[in-house]
Amino acid sequence: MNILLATSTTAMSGEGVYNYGLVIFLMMTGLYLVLAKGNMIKSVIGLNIFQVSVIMFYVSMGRVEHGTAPILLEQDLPHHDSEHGHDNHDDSEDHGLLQTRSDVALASTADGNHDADGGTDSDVHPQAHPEDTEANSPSLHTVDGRTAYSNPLPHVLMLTAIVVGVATTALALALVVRIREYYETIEEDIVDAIENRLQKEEAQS
Amino acid sequence: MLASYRGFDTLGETTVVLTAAVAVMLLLGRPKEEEHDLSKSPDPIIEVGAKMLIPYILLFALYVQFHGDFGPGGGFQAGVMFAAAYILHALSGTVRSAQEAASENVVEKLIPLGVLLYAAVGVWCVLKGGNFLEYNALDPEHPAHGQHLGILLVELGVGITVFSAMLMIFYKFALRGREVR
Amino acid sequence: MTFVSTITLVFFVLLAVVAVAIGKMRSLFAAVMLSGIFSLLSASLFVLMDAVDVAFTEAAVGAGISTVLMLMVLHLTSDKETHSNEVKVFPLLIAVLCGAVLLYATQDMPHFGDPNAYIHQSATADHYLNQSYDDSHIPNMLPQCWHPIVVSILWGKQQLC
Repeated sequence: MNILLATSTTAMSGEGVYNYGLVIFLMMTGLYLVLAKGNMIKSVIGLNIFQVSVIMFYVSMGRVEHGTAPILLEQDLPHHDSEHGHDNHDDSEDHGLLQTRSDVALASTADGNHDADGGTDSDVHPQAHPEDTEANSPSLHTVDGRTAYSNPLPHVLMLTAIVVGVATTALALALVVRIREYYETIEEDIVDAIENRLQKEEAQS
Repeated sequence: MLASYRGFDTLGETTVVLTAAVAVMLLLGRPKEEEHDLSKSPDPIIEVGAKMLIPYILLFALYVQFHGDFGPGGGFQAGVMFAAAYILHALSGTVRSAQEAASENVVEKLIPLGVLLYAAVGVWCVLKGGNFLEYNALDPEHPAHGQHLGILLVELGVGITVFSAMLMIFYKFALRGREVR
Repeated sequence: MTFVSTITLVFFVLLAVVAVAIGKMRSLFAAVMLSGIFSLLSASLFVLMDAVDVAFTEAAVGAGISTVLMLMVLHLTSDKETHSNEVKVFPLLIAVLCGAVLLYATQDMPHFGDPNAYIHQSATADHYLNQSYDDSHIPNMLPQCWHPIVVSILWGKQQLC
């Protein structure tokens, strides 16, 4: 239901879906390397390629045009002129944030852009940070007086994925070393042939 | 299920790194009869060049570790860069000389220490009255301070584990002999 | 097309070329070096797509640790791929079919960079963007996304501070 709302109220901007096509090409290259190459190191490299392409898939979904990295810029910090004002940051200061958000909500209800689940304020640019509309130094990423940030949610998930991927790669390479020491080769078909031969000899004896 | 338990995610991820290091230690742990050292006699150009670079790599890794709040960075990247500095030292000289800087026993003890630190921070939050890994409970008057402290310690734990895991994996690969072909 | 999207497209194409070249290489040393280049290119792409933390990690891990480990394994095993390089038909068929199905499925996905995409409407992302500084006073949103009990808007505004 929300997808329909999003596409019906505003036209889909953005640059087409070419990035997904390229990512899928990379994925299939990695898959082919894993399936077809007999050499185990090439299989591990293919697995790496596959993993990086999956990560790129998610990260490219999180990109917002005219957005910047999800690190708050100077102009969007609530008290950027009074540094380290620790005692000022109590809950009463949050009114500024909440107020601008409700302003945004009022503005967007005029567009009929209601969200049914929990009242999220989905305005035209949901990634724009509503604070500090007096952008004293408007950057490239200012849209309608607010800064647009890319979605940080995929980035967080993909960080974990990369680290798990390197752990898996290290383990796979350790296995390759052991296989080499045992079978004297790292080509999969030769390993298969040796295994068949060993099994036949076991069956006969 | 709730929208984010990312603190748990990162604890699990650090445990994955620890598991991978332990598995590599199990697979490649027992040295073969003759131990060959991967590096040959040290090349003076590489040695001098590496000596000039290593302090800056270590300094940058420290910077990345503790400035993950204000720019990209954090525990993982810093741990990997720390390990890269030691690996450069090992590659430019001999692995034995790198082991004098970070001996295998110490690195082996450091691997679970990071995860222990992470989990200890979580338990400390519980002892202070919050939920597991709820950093706000660390400093009840100023929750933002609690967040800062919690995230700092947690990143430190992650950095320690990642550094020692990567270094241990390197040692295991580097000290594996190779039979004569 | 803007300058940034042109550069992005160029990087993507380079990445595809490197991936195909890795498959064609018979010398494993060259293949490992190409995989290091692959990591570097993908880290640059991540920067272009505004994921700086992911780019940092990918550069450190892919071009650093992964390449070094593979070089050591090369030293411990063989240096060349001993089998001929003919294209195997059945895996190629599987890959092409799988790719075709996926391509068909992604035609419906939100456009690249579309700010109205469904993923950006989520309550969690909204909460991260707007609340992370208030909760932790840290400008970088990513460590804050590790804040454990962001009892999100879905459950009502339970105050944690």
